[in-house]
Amino acid sequence: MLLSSAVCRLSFIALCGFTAVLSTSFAASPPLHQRIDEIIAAGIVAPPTELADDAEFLRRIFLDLTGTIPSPEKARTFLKDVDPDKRIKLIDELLAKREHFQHLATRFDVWIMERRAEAHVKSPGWTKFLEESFATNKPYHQLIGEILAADGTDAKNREAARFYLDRLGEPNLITRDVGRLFFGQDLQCAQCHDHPNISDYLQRDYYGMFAFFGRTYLFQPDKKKPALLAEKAIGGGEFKSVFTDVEATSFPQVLHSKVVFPDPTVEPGEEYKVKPDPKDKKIQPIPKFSRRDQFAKAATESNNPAFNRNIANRLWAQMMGRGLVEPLDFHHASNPPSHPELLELLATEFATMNYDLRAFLRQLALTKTYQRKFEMPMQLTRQADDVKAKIEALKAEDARLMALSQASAEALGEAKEAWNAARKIAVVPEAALAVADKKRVAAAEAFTKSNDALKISTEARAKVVAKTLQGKADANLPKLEADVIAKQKAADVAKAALDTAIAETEKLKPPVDAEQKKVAAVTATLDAARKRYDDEKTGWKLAQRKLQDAEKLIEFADAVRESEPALDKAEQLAAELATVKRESEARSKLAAALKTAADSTQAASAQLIDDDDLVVAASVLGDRSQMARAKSDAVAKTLAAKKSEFDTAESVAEKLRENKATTLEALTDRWADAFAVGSFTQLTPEQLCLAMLQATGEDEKYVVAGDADFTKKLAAQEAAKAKPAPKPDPKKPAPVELKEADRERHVRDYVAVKIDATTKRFISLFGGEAGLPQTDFFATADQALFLANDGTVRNWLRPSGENLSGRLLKMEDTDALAEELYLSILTREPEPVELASVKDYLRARGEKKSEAIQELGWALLSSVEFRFKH
Amino acid sequence: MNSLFEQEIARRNFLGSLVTGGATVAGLGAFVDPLAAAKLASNQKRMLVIRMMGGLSQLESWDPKPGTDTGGPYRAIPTSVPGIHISELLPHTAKQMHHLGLVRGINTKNGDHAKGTYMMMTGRHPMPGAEYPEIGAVVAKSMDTSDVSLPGHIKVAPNGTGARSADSAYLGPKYASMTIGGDKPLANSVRPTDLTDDAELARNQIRNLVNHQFARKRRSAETDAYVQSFEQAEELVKRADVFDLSKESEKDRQRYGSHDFGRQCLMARRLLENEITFVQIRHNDYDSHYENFNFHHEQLGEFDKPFATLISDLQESGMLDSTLVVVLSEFGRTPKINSRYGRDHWGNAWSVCLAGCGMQSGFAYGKTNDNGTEVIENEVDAGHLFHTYLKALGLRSTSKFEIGGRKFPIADPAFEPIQEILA
Repeated sequence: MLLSSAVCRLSFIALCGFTAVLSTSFAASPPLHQRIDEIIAAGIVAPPTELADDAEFLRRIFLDLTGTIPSPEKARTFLKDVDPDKRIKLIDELLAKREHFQHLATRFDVWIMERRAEAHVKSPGWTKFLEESFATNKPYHQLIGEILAADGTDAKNREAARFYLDRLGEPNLITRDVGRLFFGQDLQCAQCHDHPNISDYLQRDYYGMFAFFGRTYLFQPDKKKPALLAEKAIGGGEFKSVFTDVEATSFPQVLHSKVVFPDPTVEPGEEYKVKPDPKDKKIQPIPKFSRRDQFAKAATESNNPAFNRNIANRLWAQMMGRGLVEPLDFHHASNPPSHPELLELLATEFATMNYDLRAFLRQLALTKTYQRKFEMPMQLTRQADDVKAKIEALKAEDARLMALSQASAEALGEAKEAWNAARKIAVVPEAALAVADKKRVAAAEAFTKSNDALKISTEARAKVVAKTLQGKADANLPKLEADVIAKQKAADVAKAALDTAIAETEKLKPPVDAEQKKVAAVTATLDAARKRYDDEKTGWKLAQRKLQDAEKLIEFADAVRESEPALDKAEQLAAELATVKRESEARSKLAAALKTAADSTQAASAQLIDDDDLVVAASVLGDRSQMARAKSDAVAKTLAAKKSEFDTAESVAEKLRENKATTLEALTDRWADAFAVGSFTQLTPEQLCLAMLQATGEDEKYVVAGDADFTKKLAAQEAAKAKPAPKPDPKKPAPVELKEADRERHVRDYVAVKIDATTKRFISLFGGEAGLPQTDFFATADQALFLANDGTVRNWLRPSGENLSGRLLKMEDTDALAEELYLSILTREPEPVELASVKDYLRARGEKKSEAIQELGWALLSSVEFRFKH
Repeated sequence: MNSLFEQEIARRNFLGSLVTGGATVAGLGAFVDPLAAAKLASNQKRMLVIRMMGGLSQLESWDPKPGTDTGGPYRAIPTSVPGIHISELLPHTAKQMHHLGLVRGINTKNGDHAKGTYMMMTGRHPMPGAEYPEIGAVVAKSMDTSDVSLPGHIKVAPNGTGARSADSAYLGPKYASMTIGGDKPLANSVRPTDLTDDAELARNQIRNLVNHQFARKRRSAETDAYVQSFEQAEELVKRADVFDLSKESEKDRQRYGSHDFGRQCLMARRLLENEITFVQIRHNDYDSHYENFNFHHEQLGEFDKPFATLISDLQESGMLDSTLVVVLSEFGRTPKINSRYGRDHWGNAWSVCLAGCGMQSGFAYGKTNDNGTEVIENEVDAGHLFHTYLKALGLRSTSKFEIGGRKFPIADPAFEPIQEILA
């Protein structure tokens, strides 16, 4: 309740901010997608690739927004459409589809849970929670706020607690993953010490975050009841460096935030609303002040720059194939974004648009950067010439910035030493104060106790005195009097001890304050030095990258030019060899023909002994045959020589070609880093599975069944309305009334259930290890064996009704067949050479058309082109 | 326009035998130069881990203390190495002692099955929020020399079908173990009966052509790896025999014994002979909280002969020089005998046995006191052992893996190898 009202308030403020932006700067500045393209263009040394054609764009946008490829009908309609705005319209259409919400839910689930095993929260409920959040376009920070605030107690949003509960409430794991997943920083090393190589990964930052969760633990006294998160009221945040042995305590503090959340002062023993009871483990303790509760708001509602950058980078990576920061959870000064200005723009804009996922993804999809061709530009060598002219300037800039960042690195080292020294001095009075304070607390407790005892004694005496006054003398009175005096004395002693202890702590406070002030001063210097160093190093790295891009391009162009004569020679020799070969074949044929003629004439002449003409003819033919043979042999010799010459040249050329391919590959990687060429990434296991189901027509089968199911349920509902209403069962929730508008969701839910087992199979083969980032590509033999020999994919390819193979089998025209095949699987028309190949293949397989179709389908599904998004 | 087929066929005929270099077109055979393969084999090092599940008692095996309050009923017997005695439950192993070595001063300070296993398999102390790869993945990745080969990380267990385990952490699933059974083929490694040789050839040919066509547009390490995974699959199908124990001779099967552990040992030999980089087998039921002595009598009785046979076979074939063998548990067992004649979990003073590649032989390193309650000489932790394995295999245990822009030390930098026992 509290959270949601806070969110409302924040949204309101954000909205005000947004309208303010609208009325002032927005009118002046172009839309976000254009600003993105401008920044990208500035970081590229040579012109980028052109825009992708419609088919390439179509496959890419479908995979990115719906997690699958389009149907062949959809592809055909889109490719034929002449509307110049058809891409924008398609983007908007897809962003409103149920498949988009499901796809986003999958992406978020994989990112946030990293395929961890289901432990305390059911995975389907969790993904449904995400899906519904996207269906209503819940602002991102609100969604994460709900996840980070959930503790599993409220049945209504128990699913949201999966982040914590399925990490078993483990504070270090939660701290690390909150840092990695929501702030883009893997602080694991800082658990034991400041990161040795990364200047901004500090142990005090780790423990500032840890302090929010250090008191949290999984609470499940009864295994039959759902697990919850519980929290203690003490501890969490103390640390000691294994490098320097310096000890310290962090109070809760969100990364990159100056706001600290100290515990409010409470009397000892008064920390809990519900106290833990060592004897009764079933009592869930509730602290008066929950540190974890503070975190959800502090992290998501404070416009924290790291929080904003993290999500901007992740959404960018989802669309563009790689993050501006890579790895996605390793953002630090020595690993700056490839485009710092762009990341800053994306982060602030996303926050300004109130974390509107749909609007943000739309802007990314509209960029030229997103829509580029995935092939490298054709005129790289010509581009290299232009770049050569700029190379000296690039070198000078690189050298200048390197010198700057070296100087600031030294300054940082000095500031660090000063800080450590100051801390070391401050620790002494701090420790003394801590000891004195402990004594003070003990003295206070002793005083309270003796005061209580005095109170009891005084009350006991008062009772007896009252009785005495009524005339009932009591022999105990003197004893009680003495007891009160003794207790009073004890209380006085305790009070004196407390006063002394208080005075002692007060005396010790000024030196602590003085030292802490000194520390604060050096901390400020240290922070400034660190910022300067980080900024300058970032600047230098950028200049360095651009220079290297230029050098690599020139290197590539030079290599290509140098290899040209050798390649030309090989090509020329190939042509010559072909000519000689043709001649040789003709000569050899001729020689053979003459030989046959000579032989048969000879044979005839042997039978007709008297025919002189025949003898002459045989003789002439014999001569001619021998001459032809000699000529043929000579040409064959020339052929052999040519062949050997060609072989030598070709082996040189082959090496050069291979070398060119490798260099081009390296250059492509650099271009991809600069977003100068369209992205190229693997399909996720889910995308691969869905795309195969779509391509083979298997998905359509479930869609039709799901649609029929919905129609049936709707009809049953209408029929039930006609009858008198049955008495509502109080135990069961009232059935939700179906409406025609629910059809799409119903169908997609139906399909999701049907394909669940298959999807899991794909995940087990193509997915990464649980608890680790899921973005790395790997290819193993068991995957290939699954595609090749397992029944799953082969069954999808068996002709049946209107599935892909079924449709292809019915087609007589092979042109149409090839087109349907390519459009269904690769979302594009076959090129002429591919069309010819399909025809060839079908011809070669002759009668076995059904087998041939399945083999072709399998080959395309197993191809590199299908396995990747491009 | 010529079709891809015609172009390709023309090119092949035209260039004759020259066309073998087109990576995506040429079959597997084109890559395998027999001479190069032989050269590789001689340098190739391997590792075998034998896990004694539940915690082998050091007192009934490698470090007996007969005649003391903790010693139990069994005697110690002399071995082929003068001065080294082991439990009488291992008579065959004792005869191989001159090929083996013992580390007797292990103190992992840990008595939890999961934690102990984690420490011994990763050489790291468990830390919440951090995952490290197992030794098999580290070795498979470090030794990954050839592009097309059988998987490098294999575990043997009854009913294994080739499924991948989650044990390679940041090294990625490529180096995760495959668990095989030995009595049935790997999943999907047998071609379906309705898929003829011709059809298989034809469909792969067209797949290659499609890939070849695409490589002109974009090629990367990832696309190459994907293409290669199909070649690896093909290789697995062709060499399915490697995983089929029934291909071993009847005589060998008898020598190793018909029980599960004997079969696993023979399978291990077979896999190592076939150049698998890392093999792990297991022997169950050492968690003897009750009746420790009966259990060890029974289990080690099963273990002793096949293990000794395996060591002797590896030695005779010369493979032991290039194969590191380690017999380990998650921990040892308490010197104190409990009221049920059992021994409990104990990580404070226990032993492992090592042999082969890069190691000295016939040694006993480290020492426990008279009744085995503490280490008194050359104490080591799981991390030292982990470094030692890597060093023995010729790897620099202080080097780092570089993965996705991050550096990971291949072994815990807080430890170092045990130099004294390395060859």
